[in-house]
Amino acid sequence: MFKKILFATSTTEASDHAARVAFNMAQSYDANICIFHVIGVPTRGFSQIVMDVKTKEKVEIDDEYIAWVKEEIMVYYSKQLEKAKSYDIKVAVGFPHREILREARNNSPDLIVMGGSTGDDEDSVYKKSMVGSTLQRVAKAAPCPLLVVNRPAASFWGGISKVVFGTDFSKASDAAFKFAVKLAKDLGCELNLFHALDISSLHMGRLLTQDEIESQIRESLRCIRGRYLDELKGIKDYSFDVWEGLPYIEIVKYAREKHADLIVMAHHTQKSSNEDARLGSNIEQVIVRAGCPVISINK
Amino acid sequence: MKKILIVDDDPNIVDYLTTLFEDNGFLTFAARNVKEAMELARKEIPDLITLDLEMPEEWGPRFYRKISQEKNLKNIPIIVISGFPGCTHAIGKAVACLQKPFDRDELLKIVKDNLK
Amino acid sequence: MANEILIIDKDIRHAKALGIYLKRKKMRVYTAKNSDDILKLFDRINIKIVLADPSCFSKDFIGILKKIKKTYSEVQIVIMATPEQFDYAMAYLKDEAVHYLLKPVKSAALDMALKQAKTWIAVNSKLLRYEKKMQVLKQAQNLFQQLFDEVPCYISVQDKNFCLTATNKMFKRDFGDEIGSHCYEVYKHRVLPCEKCPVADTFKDALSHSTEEVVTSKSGKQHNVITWTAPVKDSHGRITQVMEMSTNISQIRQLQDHLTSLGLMIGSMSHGIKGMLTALDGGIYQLETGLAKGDKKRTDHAFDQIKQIAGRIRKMVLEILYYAKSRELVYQTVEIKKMAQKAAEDAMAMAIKKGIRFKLKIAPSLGTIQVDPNWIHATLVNFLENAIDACIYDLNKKNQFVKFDIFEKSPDRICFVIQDNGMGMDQETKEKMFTLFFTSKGSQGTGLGLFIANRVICQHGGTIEVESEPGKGSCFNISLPRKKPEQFCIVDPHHEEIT
Repeated sequence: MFKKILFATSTTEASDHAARVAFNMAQSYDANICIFHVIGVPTRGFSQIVMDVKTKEKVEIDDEYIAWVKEEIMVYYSKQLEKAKSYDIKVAVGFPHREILREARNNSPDLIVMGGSTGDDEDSVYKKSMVGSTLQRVAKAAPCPLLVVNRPAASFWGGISKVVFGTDFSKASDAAFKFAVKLAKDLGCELNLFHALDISSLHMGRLLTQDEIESQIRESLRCIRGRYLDELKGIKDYSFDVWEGLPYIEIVKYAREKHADLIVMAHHTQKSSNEDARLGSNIEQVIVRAGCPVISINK
Repeated sequence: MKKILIVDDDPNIVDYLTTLFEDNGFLTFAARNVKEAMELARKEIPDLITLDLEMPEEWGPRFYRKISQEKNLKNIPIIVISGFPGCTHAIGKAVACLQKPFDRDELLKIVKDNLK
Repeated sequence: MANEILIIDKDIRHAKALGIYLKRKKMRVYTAKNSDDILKLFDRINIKIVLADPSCFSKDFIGILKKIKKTYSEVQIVIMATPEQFDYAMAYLKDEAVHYLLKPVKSAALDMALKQAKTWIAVNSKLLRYEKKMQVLKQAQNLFQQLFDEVPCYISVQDKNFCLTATNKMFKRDFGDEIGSHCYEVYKHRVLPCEKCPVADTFKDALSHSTEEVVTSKSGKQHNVITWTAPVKDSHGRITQVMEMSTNISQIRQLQDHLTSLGLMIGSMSHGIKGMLTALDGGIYQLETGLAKGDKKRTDHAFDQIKQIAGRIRKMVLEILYYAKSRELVYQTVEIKKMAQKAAEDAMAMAIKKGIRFKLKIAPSLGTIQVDPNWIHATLVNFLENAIDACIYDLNKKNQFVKFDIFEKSPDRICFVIQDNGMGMDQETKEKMFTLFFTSKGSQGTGLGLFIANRVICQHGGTIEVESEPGKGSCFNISLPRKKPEQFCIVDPHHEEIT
């Protein structure tokens, strides 16, 4: 299923947990892993003078410098690379999200693996207005599934045997579902379908009675059955559930309960309005909070 | 042929449902209490279960709880058929809930819908 | 006040002098010359004092004075007489006159006489007023006493020590005339005041309090009452006593209980009813499809089922009706043999079907009995069916039987004995079997059958004896009197009172 993995890294501690997952996956599924690092942001136009992301110094880019960076990467990941069968190391200059997407478009990996936010905000080179803007932009436009390992707690890899699929019954979710089913079938893992019933007053306009909530839950269960059950025939073990609450919290809880190794969700299912941008959509919150890696699908 | 497990302590009702389902081309098994029901379910792995709620000794919901713990049984659709009003709430994940006395056409429709 | 004075004196000069003197004293003076004048004056004017010299006039004048005194009793007569005529005057007017003056009247004497007359008038009018007030008071007292006694509540008045100082008729009737005893002794048969005593609360805060209590009458009977207390103040506004009024709500509570259990019953039966209706649906479906397919086996089976279930529904409806309506029995004289046979008929058929032996033994020449045949029939059938069910549910034995024995126990009592060797009853079942809503048949039982059977037998003045051993079988011995009982049966050995 995964033969080509694109692992975008900052080559700092911040990406370590994502590294762990990426390398493990490459090993488990015999995949080629491409370690992709974006050096820095050009200070002006297309000049060669660049602000190095790591050292935060102005540097002039030339082949020598690039070779040096590659060397550094190799050293940094030497341990993992020992076990890796097939790998590439690539370095690029520019805005990280642009370069990653470019690389993805050019080389069509099966999966992009990224870590979460790279830490300190103060003197960060990236003009961040909210958490993980690189992540946001890559997730939005990635041409293939994007696996995010946001925090160390989400990175204790043990292979994929239990997958949670979160749906809101949108078309985007249907696409993500197809992926989840394929994943479950190919890897022979347990698939748990989940829908969160949003009961926040913002969403519903008022406080619902428990009976109303429960009848909506039943309705949602019926929806799941109608929409997805047929495709699940080939899967050895599946279950489905509907919980009420704040969607991103409920998904995280459900995944925890099911001891999920992976959460699969559709990316933003609607054009992000201002409201969503302010709150962060469900998938963003799930990525940030989940206790396991999250795969975001956007087509 | 699809298999339906009927769980009810009233022999008249078991008789009725058995005849009704068999007439419509289903294979049926009947259990009069939770213990029998679990044994039959494990043995036959039905495609659908009709469940009465109030039975002597253990009640319907207990059966549901037990069956949800078993991997190959937990996803079998369950139709609750009970004399209690408000039985819709007894087993949240039931596919449907019918009150006694039920409309047999409605029951058949639900059964057929869930056994396609 | 008392300023109208009439002077009667033939001596005009004297009279005039008196008149002037009195006028100075701010009195209104009238004079009369003859008897006619006197009476006319009295008609017109409210004369209070008469100053008269009777010697001037004839005897009939004295008569007039007496008459006046009689008619206007508050008039005070002062007699003036010369010393010679004094005795004469005294003799005739000693009863009517209030004072005597010697003529010529001295002013000091006149003053004193007037003073006395006026005092008398004032006192008399006071007395009159008081008399009137006393009458009103007495009337009011009578009225209140009537109210106190006729009110259909218990009223008692207690002092600070909870001693009864007054009780009304109804109280006396049910609790005795216990003036002086403690209210808690009389009402509740306690030795100490009650915990949440509303009387105590009223003593404390001078407000009315209300509670619901259970009180015990002289005869030991218990009543539910609602109690109100009100403070009784003395003339200084201090609370010296508290009045306690209790309304008997036992009947309401009984009705409430009855309605509650009726509601309970309907609720608990509705589940059974739904089951039966579904089973009926099943029977009908099988009948329909059996006929359509020409499947005789199925149609026969369906018919059987429908009959059975219709019977069960009928039984349940009758039980509900019995429980909901009045329980008056309609007595008839029936032949015991026929009644027993009829009851055994249905039971026998059921027994044979299930392979249980049924033995019916009716003693010869039993004669007749006065009962409500419908209810006794239903009751006997109930017991018989229970016996058969006991055998059916007992999966262990073969050779099961049900025996129905009817014989004369004594000239006026008939015994119906129903025995089976089925599953028997444990201790708990034996104790609870006649209670409401108890059933050992799960969803098939209504919980009413034996409860009603028990009451029916009791209302007939009969008794039920039960013997049973788990695993071995049971024996029900029902004894009924030949004749209808004289009064309503009030004792049920299995429960407390039925009315």
